[in-house]
Amino acid sequence: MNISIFLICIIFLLGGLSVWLLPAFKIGIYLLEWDFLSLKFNFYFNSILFSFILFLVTFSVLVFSTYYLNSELNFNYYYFVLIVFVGSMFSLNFSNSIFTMLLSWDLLGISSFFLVLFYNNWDSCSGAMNTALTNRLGGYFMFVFFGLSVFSGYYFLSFSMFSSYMSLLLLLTAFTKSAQFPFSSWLPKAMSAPTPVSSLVHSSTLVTAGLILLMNFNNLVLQKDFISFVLIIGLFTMFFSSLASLVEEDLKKVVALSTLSQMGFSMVTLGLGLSFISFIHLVSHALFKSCLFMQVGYIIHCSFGQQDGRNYSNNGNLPNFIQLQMLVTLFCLCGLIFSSGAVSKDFILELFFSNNYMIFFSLMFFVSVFLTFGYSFRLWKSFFLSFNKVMNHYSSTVFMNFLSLLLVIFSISFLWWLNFNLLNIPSLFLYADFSGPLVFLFMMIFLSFMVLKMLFKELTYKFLVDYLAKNSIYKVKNLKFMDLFLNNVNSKGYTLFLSTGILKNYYLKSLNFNSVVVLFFIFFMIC
Amino acid sequence: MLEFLFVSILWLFKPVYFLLFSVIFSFLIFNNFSWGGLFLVLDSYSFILLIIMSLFILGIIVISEKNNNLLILSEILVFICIIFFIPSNMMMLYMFFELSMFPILVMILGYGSQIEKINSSYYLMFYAAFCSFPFLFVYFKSNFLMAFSYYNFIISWEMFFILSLSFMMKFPIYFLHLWLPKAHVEAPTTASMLLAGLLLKLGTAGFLRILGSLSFVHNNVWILIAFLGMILGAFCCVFQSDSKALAAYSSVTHMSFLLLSLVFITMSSKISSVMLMLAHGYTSTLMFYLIGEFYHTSGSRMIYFMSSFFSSSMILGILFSVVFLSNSGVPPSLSFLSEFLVISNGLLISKSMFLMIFVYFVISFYYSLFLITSSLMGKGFYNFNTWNVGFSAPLVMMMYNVFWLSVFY
Repeated sequence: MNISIFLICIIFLLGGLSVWLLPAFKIGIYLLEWDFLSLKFNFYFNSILFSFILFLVTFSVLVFSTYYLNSELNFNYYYFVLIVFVGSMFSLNFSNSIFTMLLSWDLLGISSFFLVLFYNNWDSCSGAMNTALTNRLGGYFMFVFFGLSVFSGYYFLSFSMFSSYMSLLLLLTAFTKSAQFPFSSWLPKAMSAPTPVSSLVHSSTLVTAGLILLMNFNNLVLQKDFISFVLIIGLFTMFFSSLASLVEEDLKKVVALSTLSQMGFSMVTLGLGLSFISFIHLVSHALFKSCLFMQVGYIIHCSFGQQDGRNYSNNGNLPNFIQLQMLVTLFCLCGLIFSSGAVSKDFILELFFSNNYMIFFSLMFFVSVFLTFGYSFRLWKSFFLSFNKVMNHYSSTVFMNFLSLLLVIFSISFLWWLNFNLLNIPSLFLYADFSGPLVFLFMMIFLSFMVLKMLFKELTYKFLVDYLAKNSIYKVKNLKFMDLFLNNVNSKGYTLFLSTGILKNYYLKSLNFNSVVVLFFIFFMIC
Repeated sequence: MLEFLFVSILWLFKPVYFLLFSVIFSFLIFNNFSWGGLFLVLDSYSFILLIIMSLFILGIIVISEKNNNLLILSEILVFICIIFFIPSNMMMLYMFFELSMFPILVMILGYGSQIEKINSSYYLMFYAAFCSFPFLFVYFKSNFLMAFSYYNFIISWEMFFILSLSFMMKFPIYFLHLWLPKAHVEAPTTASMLLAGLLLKLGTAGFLRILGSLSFVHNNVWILIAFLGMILGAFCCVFQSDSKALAAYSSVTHMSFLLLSLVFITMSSKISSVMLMLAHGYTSTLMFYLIGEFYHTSGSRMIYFMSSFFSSSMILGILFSVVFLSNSGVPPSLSFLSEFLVISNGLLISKSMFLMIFVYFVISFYYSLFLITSSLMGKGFYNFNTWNVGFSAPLVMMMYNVFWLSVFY
């Protein structure tokens, strides 16, 4: 390990420790108070909690980057820009004045530009341009927002009464940084950065910056029109990114799109007015997503930098410990029970469905939450269900095995701990509430599965032995009966579909044969 | 006897001594309200800042330029500019305004390398002649009550238009800008550094002095002109293939933005425009300097050949990106602060400026970013002179020196 990285890690650990002790206080530090050029920072509970997570993730990423970018020529360049990047994120997190916020906001965009530029090829250049330009749009909106609302407000984070429709610009700013619906193109494009950078960018720094901004001004957003705007945009982002992640072949982009969907999820939560819950989800997401990216980075490293899922091979024989870690992070992503993803996600789901929104939106929400499982499974399958060719480079280090263990442990237990100690969610109730329907659901699925399986066995037996043997084999000789049989099957099957009533008549009429194929296709896709 | 005296004055023309002399001279005039018996009157802090900027520009030229004649010409030009910034009356202002044409013409005609330099100097001369001789007409028509060099009394808007035409040419606003890219492309590096950094400031500083007579008459037309310049100039930048022409059009864009800020005629907009002048002065000087470094190394200024700065020289890559980021107004540069102030002023006046400034903002960021990306990345190698590149460090410091704000607030 590089000595400077070792020292930085020590400093980060100390910083993390000190941050751990701080949450009892509400501290603001004001340096250099001129009119505009003032450096003001506040150390409230939210920002301290977030910065603790940021410490943890940055620490892991720095260690990971010594593995991933080992003996890279421009490592110092990478390292310097990464430090600027993380520093500006910390500054944004703590900032309490316009100057610091603008400064850290644009520095974040610029340093991410240079980080994406690292690999020095066409793809990274275009990705970097896209990232920086989109962030610059957000920078302009932020310029205008602060330019028009600063002169009417007194305290920085609470001028809720004074800036009426300027807060729309605040929303747009947050949307560009958090890659929400109209501005989401840069997020997959930025995947041409080195994987440690993506791990940092997509878990706890760049994409969360917009949400952090909105949470700082949460009183400003709590207005009916704006909040429904946030809700709808968040929903669209969730839905489209989940759909896109089902068909994307570059697996790193799949992970990026899953991040985007989680950001949309947080945005929806913010749109429900639950800024703190959204923040909690952001924290848990930061933990497991950085871990997931590190595992993905390990696999990419083992496959000679290959990111396309179709070209992976023999990943099933990678160390089981890595596979286990990845499974845990995917469980967290899905929000399965007893992981920290479950705590926040269950709460959000419950509160979403306790409102009465349009059925269309609820359906969309439900589908996109469901699709989380879809792309998690897809990731898992395309990473580890491949034993065919031996084209990978197995570089096992003990170091790599245990690198993200801390993150894994935290992503399982941290939110649970937080939940017990700070959130005051009645967690027993939460879990009872969670597991009761789950048991019933499981029983229903299990029973129906067994019944179907038995019936199917029975039918198969009957079809093969009684029907096929007797009827068809005998009747094939006589083509008249074969014709009759085919007619019969056609009309019976057809009327069966017609009589279901779920699918309309014209649907099957318009696509006579294709519809059956489509149904089969759906069936196979579900399997 | 007299010959000996003259010979002993000759030391003054040795560039370093001249720089030293002008620094001392500038410090002397800071302390006196009126220096040299009402010959020079220092009436505002903004001009102090502009003088400091011109000294910095002269400094980098003295360090980097090897040609003695160019050095002496640039000394003369800087001296003329300094006196232009602090004249005691309008006639002197006009005199030094016109006088500044001489060194730059000699530089272009004498040290440009292509034959098109003749055409470009024709452009420069005729634009200057047609636009600035009418100044005298207004000057003799107007009766000054005091001798200070401000137009702050009421004149008709036609008169004001004629008056401002000379400064508009120097700005340059969009329709009078054609001489600028031509001159830049033909001029040697030193001349274009001076042209962008200092000569354009003659126009802005002069406009600042006649701004009192504008008195909000037909303000909207000026704003419209500024918008046209900002947006059309920015789009022109996108389509350039010569990097010097790109930098020239970038100057046109930023100067139009400065015009937009100036014609609001509020206190804060004037302050922000002065800061924008400073930021643009330092930044564009460095832009031309670094492009010139590339030109001296590779023999080409085409954007298509600008690549692989990072693999050639890390320090050049860093300085280049820092300079072009400052050009597009990235914090914590001075241009960021001034752009923020201009935008907030403008939107306080009218919300409809949102879209225009938006286009300007994004496009001007786009071309800077494009130039950075295309020239930094690549796998080639150019043998840059690292020492020469490093000379730009003091100006980079000044470019990111946001503390000028404290002069005004």
